[in-house]
Amino acid sequence: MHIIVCIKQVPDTANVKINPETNTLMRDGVESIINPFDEYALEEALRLKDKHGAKVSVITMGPPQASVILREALARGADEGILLTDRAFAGADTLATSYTIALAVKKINPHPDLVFFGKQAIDGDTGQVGPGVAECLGIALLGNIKTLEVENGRFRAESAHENGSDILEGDLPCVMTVLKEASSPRFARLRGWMDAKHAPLQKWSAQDVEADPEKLGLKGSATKVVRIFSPPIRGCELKCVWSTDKEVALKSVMGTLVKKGILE
Amino acid sequence: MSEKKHIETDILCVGAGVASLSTALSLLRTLKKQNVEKLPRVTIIEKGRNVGSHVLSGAVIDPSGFDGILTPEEIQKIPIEAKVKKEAFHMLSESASLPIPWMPRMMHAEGFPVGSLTKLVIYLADLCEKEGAEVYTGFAAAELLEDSKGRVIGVKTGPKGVGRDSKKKSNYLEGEEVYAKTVVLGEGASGFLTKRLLAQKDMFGMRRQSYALGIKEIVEVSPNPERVGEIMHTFGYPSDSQTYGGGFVYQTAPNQVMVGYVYALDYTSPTANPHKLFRRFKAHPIIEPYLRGGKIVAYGAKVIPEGGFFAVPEVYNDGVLIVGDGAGLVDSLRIKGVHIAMMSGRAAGETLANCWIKNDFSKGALQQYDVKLKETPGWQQLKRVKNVRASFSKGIMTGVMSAGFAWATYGAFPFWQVDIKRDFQGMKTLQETASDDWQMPITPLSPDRLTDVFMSGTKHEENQPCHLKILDTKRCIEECIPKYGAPCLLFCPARVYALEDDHIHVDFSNCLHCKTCQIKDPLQNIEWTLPQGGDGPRYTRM
Amino acid sequence: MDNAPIIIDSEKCKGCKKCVKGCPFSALEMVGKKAVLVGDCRACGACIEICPFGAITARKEVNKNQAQLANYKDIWIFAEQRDGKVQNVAFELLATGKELAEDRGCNLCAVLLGYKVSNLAQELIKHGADKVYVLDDPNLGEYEADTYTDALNKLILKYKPEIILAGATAIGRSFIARTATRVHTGLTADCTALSIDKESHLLHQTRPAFGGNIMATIMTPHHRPQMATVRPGVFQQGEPDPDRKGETLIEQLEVAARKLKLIRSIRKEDEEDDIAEAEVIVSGGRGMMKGENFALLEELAKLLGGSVGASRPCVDAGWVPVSRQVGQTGKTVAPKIYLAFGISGAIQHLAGISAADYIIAVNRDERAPIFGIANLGIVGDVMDVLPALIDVVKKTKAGN
Repeated sequence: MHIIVCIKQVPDTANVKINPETNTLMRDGVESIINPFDEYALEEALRLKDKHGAKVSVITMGPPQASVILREALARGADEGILLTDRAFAGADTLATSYTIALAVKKINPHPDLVFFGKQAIDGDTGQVGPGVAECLGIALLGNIKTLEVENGRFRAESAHENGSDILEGDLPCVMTVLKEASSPRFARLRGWMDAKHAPLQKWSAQDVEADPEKLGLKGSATKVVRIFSPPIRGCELKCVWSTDKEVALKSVMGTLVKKGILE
Repeated sequence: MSEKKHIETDILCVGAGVASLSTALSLLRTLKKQNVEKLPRVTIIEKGRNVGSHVLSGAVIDPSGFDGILTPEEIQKIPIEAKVKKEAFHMLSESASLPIPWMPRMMHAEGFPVGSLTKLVIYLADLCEKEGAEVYTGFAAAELLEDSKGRVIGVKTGPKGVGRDSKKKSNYLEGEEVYAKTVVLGEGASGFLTKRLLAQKDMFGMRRQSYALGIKEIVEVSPNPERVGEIMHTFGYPSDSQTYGGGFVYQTAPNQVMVGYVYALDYTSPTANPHKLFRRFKAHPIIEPYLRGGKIVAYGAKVIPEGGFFAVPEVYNDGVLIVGDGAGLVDSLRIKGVHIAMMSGRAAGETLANCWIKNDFSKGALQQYDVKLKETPGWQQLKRVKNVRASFSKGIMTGVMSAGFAWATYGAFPFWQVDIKRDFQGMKTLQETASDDWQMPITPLSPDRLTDVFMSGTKHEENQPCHLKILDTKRCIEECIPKYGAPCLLFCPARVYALEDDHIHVDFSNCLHCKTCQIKDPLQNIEWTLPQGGDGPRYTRM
Repeated sequence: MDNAPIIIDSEKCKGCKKCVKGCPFSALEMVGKKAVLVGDCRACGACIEICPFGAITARKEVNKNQAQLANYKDIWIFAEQRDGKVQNVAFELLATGKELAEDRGCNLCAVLLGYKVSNLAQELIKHGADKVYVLDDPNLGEYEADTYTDALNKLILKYKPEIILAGATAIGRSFIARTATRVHTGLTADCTALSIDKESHLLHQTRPAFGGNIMATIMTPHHRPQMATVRPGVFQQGEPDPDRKGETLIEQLEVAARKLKLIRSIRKEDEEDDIAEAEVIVSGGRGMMKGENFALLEELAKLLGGSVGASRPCVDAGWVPVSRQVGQTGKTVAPKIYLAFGISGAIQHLAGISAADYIIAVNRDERAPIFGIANLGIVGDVMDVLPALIDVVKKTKAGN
């Protein structure tokens, strides 16, 4: 069995501080980490490796410093790490990114059994690349996986949605996006790090994956950012005292609940 | 992956601080200079999340420490841009200050780099790895491994994934055994393994170690380029005359000020609150202008060994060396230890290089480290001021006189050992102490401990056993609170300890790994143990 | 760089560095005393606006396929249905879509995929759809990403909609992204605002970026359809018009066969909710006084379909399990509404809730830091406010 896991290096937004004046997040000195959702995708792959002896390849698209997360994946037990890096990839939206990553996946193995993604990246938050890659590969897609079992070329998975989850069965190959409800990511062992330290990482450029330059980066993106602006500072709409303004307080709360669609 | 049950390396350094890194650099460079073909595998493990995460110091760095370890180009490139260009010493009273017009040369720091030790350590780690050493962060050394003859043969890392109920979580990882020809302990002050080693093998110095607690903030201010390189050290207020305390403020960049307070832990008042003293210091009319209009961006705390010459333990044993703050190598008058830590690293590195060439890591061979260490200029400095700190415990005037003698006679006088109580001893009872009603409103530049601790980035896995062990909780209520009022509530710079109904509540996840609690608790009822590797502060520029 | 999206006129550049500081992608640097593009330019235009000397201009792009793009018409919304019930997000999209369609001067249409769902078309028309395209097929009976992608794609090829909007739900996030890739067009996720540009007639899609630090407005200038997803509850539903008339088109297209087999479904109640995913969080702090009082929070949470959260001290006290802890060391949450009862608002807690859409705080102490971040603050005893609030919510729900 061959499992390919796509991971991303992101800023550790959970560890940022709030700027007390503007109530926005301060990103100075924030570390880069493996996207937390991707850790669960990797863990799912490693679990299958433990159980079925699968081969686990890990791929990331990013600047050269993203190789750090590949080493961490190797330290946890992945078999090989590939860094997709090229100036031409920069500025890619999810369409161009999906195209690029799909090319790399095909180059690793034109017929992988499973391709895993985390549910979404905590910086972009779109969750679109997993489905996009599935489309480029022409492979089936199943999202929001909580549990997964594989046997004889077939899988049984629990896929979550707003009202609960569905247990589904299907044939491999399949592209899956993995949730945090899946198994807790394992720690990398010290020995794992020592082995990973000098393990060779493959570095692929646009040429290595035979990419069409028109479909890469900014050029290959269908969406364009036209404007950036600061979000509105959270303002206090109303502060009242319960003992004197009980009715006003209740009315405001109920109004908000209705407006946000929580109550009818 | 290898199937062996343990990991083997040649030299294992515990702690990626300035001393360990200097050891590794010195070892590898000495061997390369001698064209030795086969080089040892040097592994450095660090309990912090990243290199430098648990490193904190003032710091005005005596550059003599770089000699023999870094090349002149490397010294040029150290990531500390500011150099001391103007220094002042002040004696403070509550509202005024008395500048000290003259200080002996040994106290001067003109031209010394002043800035972040964390950044320097990150730089050194990078050089180490380029030389071939390997640094692994997020791994705590939990146990010294010994052979049947009691020789230290390695270290076992701490486990990960243990739940609050002490049961294994689904991703439990057992600690790993790492064997080495020599273990170099560079854990810093009051280090976990170092403490146990000294006790187990009775390696204590002529007296036990004494400490001070250093609390520090980094403040971002409006750009003031002319002030870069200005440093000030103070003593007196807000410490009383019996306690060795002093503050510092350094302008380390056009828009950055480092401010801190160092308070000796042999203080006797049960109601003393070092963090409060730090706030009082910051509010002093001569300090406040440096911080005005600024914003606190980082916070941290750590203990400094101040016992000096008499408290330095045996620095080597069979299979193990102790370098840096763990060996108490700090000049307690200047409160400078970085350069001596580096010198100890150089001594250790050169010793280990010889051991490698001769393939002899026996206790006799390691003794060379002790010899080399005592030939370093840093050691001479320690000797010179050997009685100064202890003299200060008798009062400021006694201390100043002793310092004068130490300077004038190069430490020859007083030639006897001035004694000093252990830090946890001699605490007065509540009844014997006048209450301290000093209050100050909390402001953005004078935040409370909880807000400050947020700025340290400290983070611990919540679902793990509390690493701060109160050995006998009954004693807190029955003995400590009536007698001393639970000083842990006040001396912890991270507000880990809180009084709740009828027990002491421990918020371990605030812990800054400063080690004050196990040092200062008058009942010695608290033991600092290791949390999960990778936990703790996340200093990036302390 | 030859074909970078911006051109810097070094004659006009005075080295003021405003563009360097203002670039959200750190793509500009000073070389000598002139600004130079060194990094990844995303063509956001921030530097063009910021430069006081007009030294930066946008490189004119060659407009491709303008004629072809003109063939695309109408605004479509994907009417998500589950178990024969149209989801609220569809009505929210119709309400917004109506305004967009008016601005654009085109039809507003709904797409309904499923099995035996044609009867739902009427509801969509009443909520504003001019046309409803229905693809009714056994293969669409249960949701499967690939069959739905195939269905929507075929409809897009046949009718060429200019804009497609969908809910950013579990369904929407998977197959809409797949469809956008198949059609080779742009998709913007989790939009918080949509409008039609007056000059270009393009859809302006606004969403938070960089973890909410900035807002970005995005467009899809050269690809069709322009696609966007919106989180449920971001827009408001409108009132249905019972007299409204519209067209229902039952499509007879072949849909790809299902490949997955549904073994069974698990309903939400059976599982523990994850507060990190909750839309409403009812959270308690030390001000709740006792663990028993959390029962009130649980009651309110249940009424609102939300989850119970807590600040650190409550977890430490054993009042709630650690999975409920919100804050820097607990969970970071981004609900639509965060109700903080008896929480003072220590900075460690605020770090975990800063991404909440709307914060309501109740605390006895008017100086509690939480009031500095709350949208709505009530100074009072939580044990007075909670029962009264629960009462009103119950009455409102009973009345509906």
